[in-house]
Order: sequence, then C-alpha cells, then structure tokens
Amino acid sequence: MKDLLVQLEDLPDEILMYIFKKLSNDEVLYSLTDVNQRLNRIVHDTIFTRYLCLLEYCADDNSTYPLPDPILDRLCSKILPAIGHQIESLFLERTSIKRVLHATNYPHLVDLGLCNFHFEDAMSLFFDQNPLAHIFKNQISSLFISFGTGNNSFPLESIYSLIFSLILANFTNLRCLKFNSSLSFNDTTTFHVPDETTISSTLLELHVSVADMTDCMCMLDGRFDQLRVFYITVYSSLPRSLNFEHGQKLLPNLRIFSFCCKEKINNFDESIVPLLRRMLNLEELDLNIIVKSNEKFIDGDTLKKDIIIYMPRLYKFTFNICSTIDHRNQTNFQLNKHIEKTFKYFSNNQIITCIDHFQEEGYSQCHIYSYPYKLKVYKNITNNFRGGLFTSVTQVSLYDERPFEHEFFLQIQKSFPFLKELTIKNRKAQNNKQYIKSNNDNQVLSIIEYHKLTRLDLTNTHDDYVELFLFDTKMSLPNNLHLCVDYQILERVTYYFTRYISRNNCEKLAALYCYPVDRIDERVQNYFPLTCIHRAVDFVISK
Amino acid sequence: MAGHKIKLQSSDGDTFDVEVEIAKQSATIKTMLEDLGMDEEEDVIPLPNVNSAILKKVIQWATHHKDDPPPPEDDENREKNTNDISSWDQDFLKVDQGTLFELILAANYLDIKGLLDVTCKTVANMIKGKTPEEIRRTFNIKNDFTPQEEEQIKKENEWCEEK
Repeated sequence: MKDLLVQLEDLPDEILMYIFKKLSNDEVLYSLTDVNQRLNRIVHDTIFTRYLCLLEYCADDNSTYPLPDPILDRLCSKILPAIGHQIESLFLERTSIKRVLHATNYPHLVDLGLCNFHFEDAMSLFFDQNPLAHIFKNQISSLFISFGTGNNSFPLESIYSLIFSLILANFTNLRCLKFNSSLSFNDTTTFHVPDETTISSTLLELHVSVADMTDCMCMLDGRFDQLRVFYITVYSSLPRSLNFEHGQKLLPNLRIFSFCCKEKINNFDESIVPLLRRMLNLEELDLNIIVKSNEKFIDGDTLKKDIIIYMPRLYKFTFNICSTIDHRNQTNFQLNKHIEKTFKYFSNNQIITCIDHFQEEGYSQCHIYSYPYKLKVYKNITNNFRGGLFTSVTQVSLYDERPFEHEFFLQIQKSFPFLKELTIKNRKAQNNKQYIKSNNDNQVLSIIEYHKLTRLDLTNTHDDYVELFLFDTKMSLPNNLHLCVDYQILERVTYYFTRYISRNNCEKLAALYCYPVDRIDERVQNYFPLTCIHRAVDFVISK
Repeated sequence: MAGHKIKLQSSDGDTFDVEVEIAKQSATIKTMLEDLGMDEEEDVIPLPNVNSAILKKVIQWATHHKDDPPPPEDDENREKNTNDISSWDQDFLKVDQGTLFELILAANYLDIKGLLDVTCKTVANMIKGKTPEEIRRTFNIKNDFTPQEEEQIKKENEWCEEK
C-alpha cells in the first residue's frame, strides 16, 4: 500500500537540526560529515561546530574518558581541519589534548577545557617552548581545568598550586578561570593558594576550591584586583594563619560572590561577616554554610543587620545556612514561627525555615534556605521536613531522634525525584511497623519507590530501616544498588542468613559494604550470590 | 469539562472522538479550540497533514501521556540525554522508519513537544556511533558527491583508515 515511505531525507532542515541537537556535536560530526551534500551543509552550521567536547563523561562518578580511537582519528584527520576556523570552545581529555590542538589551526578558539588533567601534562603544555604557547597566551580568555590523580610523588596540594601559578603566567589574556571548582567534574581535591607573586590583572571571573579560609582570604588580598565574579568552595573552616596582611582591603569591583564551606564554621562573626562587609558593591550573594552559634540562630534579622545593610546594591541573595546551638540547661526553645517572622521583609524569594531540637544529643539546629533549592546535597532531614520539590538534589541524609515511618519515606520519594545517594542515621525503632505488619500485609500503603538510587548508607541505624529496605514489599528499589550496613544488623535482619522470602530487595544489590568484613563467610556469600562484598571503608558517598 | 470530546479528522477523511484534555496536548489544536471557540461536540477539527494511521498512533500516545507533567523548559544537558526514553515509549516506537518519520512530522505539525522529543531521540539513537557509510545504509541516503569529491574524501580518510 505505502509505496512512498517518508525517509530521513524527506524531513525539513529544521527537524533534522532538532534531531541532531539531541546528539553531542562530536557525535553529529563523526557520523554525518560526508554522508551527502545536504547533511554536510547542515552539520557544518556553527551550532554543531562552535563548541566541541571531545571526551566521554560518566555522570555516576564524575569521571571523564577519552573518545574511542577510531572516532578521534576521524575527527583529527578529516573533520577538525575542515571546521577548525569555526571552533570557539574545546573541551579535551588529557590524552588527546596535544593531538587535537595540533590537528589544525583554531584562529577563533577562546574557551578551553582540560579534563582529567595531570601534573605531567601541565609541565609539557605550559612552558614557553611549547608550540601551543601562543594560543594560550593570546587567544584563550576562558579556561576550565579539572584534575585526575596521575602518577606523581608530590603532595597534590603543591602540584595544584604550581599549576595554578603556571596558568596565570601562561594565559595572559585570561578573563575566566574555573580551576577544579566545586561544580567541576572532580570536586574532591583542594589546593593552597600560591604566594603573592601569582597575580592577574585581567581575570574577571574565578571559580575555585581551596583548602581553608586562609586561601580564601589570599584570593581576595588584591592579587586579582579586577575580579567581578568569584565562586569559592572552602574545605576547612579554620585558617592556617591568623595574619591576613591585606585582610581589610575593600573589594569594590566584586559584583557576584558565592561562598560554600564544607566544614562547620565556629567564628561566623569574626570570619565571614567582616569578609562580606568588604564587598561594598556586591549585587549577587550566595552563602552555603554550617555555623556553630553561641546563643542565637542565624535568622533573617542577623542576615539583615550583619550583612545586607552593608551592601546597598545587593539585589539577589540566595543561601543555605544551618546554624546549631548546644543546649546549656535551656528550658525555652525557639520556635520555627519566630524564625519565620524574621524573614517577613525578604521579598525577593521564598525562604524556608526549619528548627529541630535534639534532646539526646543536646543541641538545636536551625536550617534556613532560599527556595527553589539549587544544591545537589540536602543533609540532616528530620521528621520536621516540610516537603517541597527538590529537583537539583541527588544526595540526601536523614537524621532524627524520633523514628522515621512509612509516610516520611514516601515524602522523601516525592520531594527528591532524582535521589541517587541516601544516608539514614536513626537509632529509634519504627512505631508503626508492627501495626503495618498485622494490617493485612499492609495493602493500604503506597509503595515507596526510589527509582534512581545507587548508594544507600544504613550504618549506625536501627535494624528496622535495614529490614524496611531489604524485605518490605512496599519498598521498591532499582537494580545495581550499593548498600553499606553493619554486619551485626545484617545478621539479625536476615535471621543469620536464613531468611528467604519470595520478594525481597537482596537480589538487587550489586555491592554490599560491611564492617567488620572478616566476618563474611560462605553463608553470607551464598545468601548474596550475585553481590560483590567489600569493606565498609571503601563505600563512598560523593561529596 | 472532564470527558468532553471533540472530533479530529485525518487527511483521508476518518474522524476520531478524542477527549479535549488529551487533544490539548497538541498546542496547535489547543490554539484552534481557543481561537475559534470550538466547544461543540459536533465541531470537527480538520488535520490535513496527518493521515488516519498516524493520527491513530498520535492519539494513542497522547492518551497514555495525558497525566504527564508539562515538559520541562529546554535544557541543553537534558536535551542531549537520549537514554531516558521510557519503556512504554520504546515499545510504542518499535515501528518502521516511514512511520517513525511520519510521527515526527505529525508531532511537529500538531506541536506536541513530548512526542516530538521522544521520536527525535529515537532517530538520534539510530545515528549515534555509526560511520557515514553505515548512516547511508541505515537511512537509504544516496551519496551525491561528484567522483572528484568522493576521491578527495577517500584520500582524506585514508590516513585514518591506515591507522
């Protein structure tokens, strides 16, 4: 009947472009260059040639890999020479950097990304005699660099410092530098800022992760006097040195500042507040910190009084601040409604506040954040969690001194649809477990589904939660899950590895991480026949 | 109103009764209904660019996806991910190439973003990783380079094939 089937070539250019845009540009160029004249014309559009990312990226572990050789060969020999003049942005994996950069001329290349970079690569690339030096010096205005581990005997921090200095010495036209920043492919390494000879008067935007507060202060000591945009992640809240020679220098050029500290800050008033007050003309501020307070939580009043009134141009303020106070014979505990009230006049975005009082641990915690939430981690969620949708979050930890029941886990499922890594710390037995068990196989309850979960940490938690995740028929988990659990708990919930029921989640485990691992014997291996068993210390939740 | 239906007429004259909420996944039909104030069950919306077989498939897709949340704003990273096709859609799109391309044309004409995305991703997956010669074979594309151009291409590719 159908003698005139529609074919790919019958689709109009705009639809072909729409299809090709579903592929990465290197895939488009590799497969469709030289198929026929029409496709050649379409794939040579600057949409497909202006930006090229010549590497493979694995989102699961944030790692990068080189493209397969046949693809790289065809790109370097045939395709890049034809489109080199159109390329403005190149992202390369360490093993192909030289080959790609030597394949042709790139007169319009301004944006360069070097991924999985090693110390040896820096040594061979960033010295004057390298024929590519003129590209670095004169053309590149934006550089992204993320590091692999490499074979070297130097402490990593010194290497990063040296590479940072080499970059600023070689890339003399640099406007934007993303140096192993927290949003990069590899966000677990840090470095100390080199001495004050490392300067740049061209740099306008810097994204970087550093070891401690001293490094943060060094970055703002005037060496980057034109800096407009600064994103910094600090790993330790303690400074190495208390002498900040340029500590009081004003920063009138800075317009956007984002500060994230991975460790609890003990001296917010002495370290963060004075730093922020130097930024007279700041327009956008983002703070992501945990603070140990003495008497008062950080609330809307604190932010206004200590920070906002010193920044007359500030029009966007986003934050995720968790402040804690140790209990000292308190009888009165602040209520959430009091904290909420202090944000009454924050008109530019929605603010969520949540207070928890942990009597057993002896401290209270106040979490305030601007919504929509944009971070990938949400820590220490308790039963007081107020819901909402958190599409950016892939990593969640749950903690409370009250038990987590079925409804709570359902709420977590609804609020975090892209949850990949979950940690549960709760020592309390579930209250409703027995009731649910007796209630006709809990038919009335909805199934909890964590579709995208890849890592689950159930160490230091009550047996009930391990049982819930492994044996409850109302818990649906994906295959290939990695579970970390205490051996003794595992022994108990599996009835010493003899508990066999038809539907359980044990068979979905790709890997089991236990402590102590020397207790793993044939019984355990037989109980988890398809699961790789590792030591608990090898279990990693990404930072 | 829930359950309220309209009639859609294909290019070959067949009419289909479809719930308004399902039909409104098509921005084209939604605009027609709003602009022309068509709300009577007797009104027929002609769709001259979609034949009966394809319209039936489109209605089947739209019915299955009627409760989907609105598609997210265009995001380059999300767009480039072609591995997120649901298993229902994968089964639904196990069709010959002619039907697949007609579905693309229909989704484009009817302005159904979800269907256009999933059909285009399916074609993108058919392209991924193939050499130009494999692309020609897969999609029955004629090589229209002149012999001289062809010779030149071969020469340029020799270096990489020798490796």
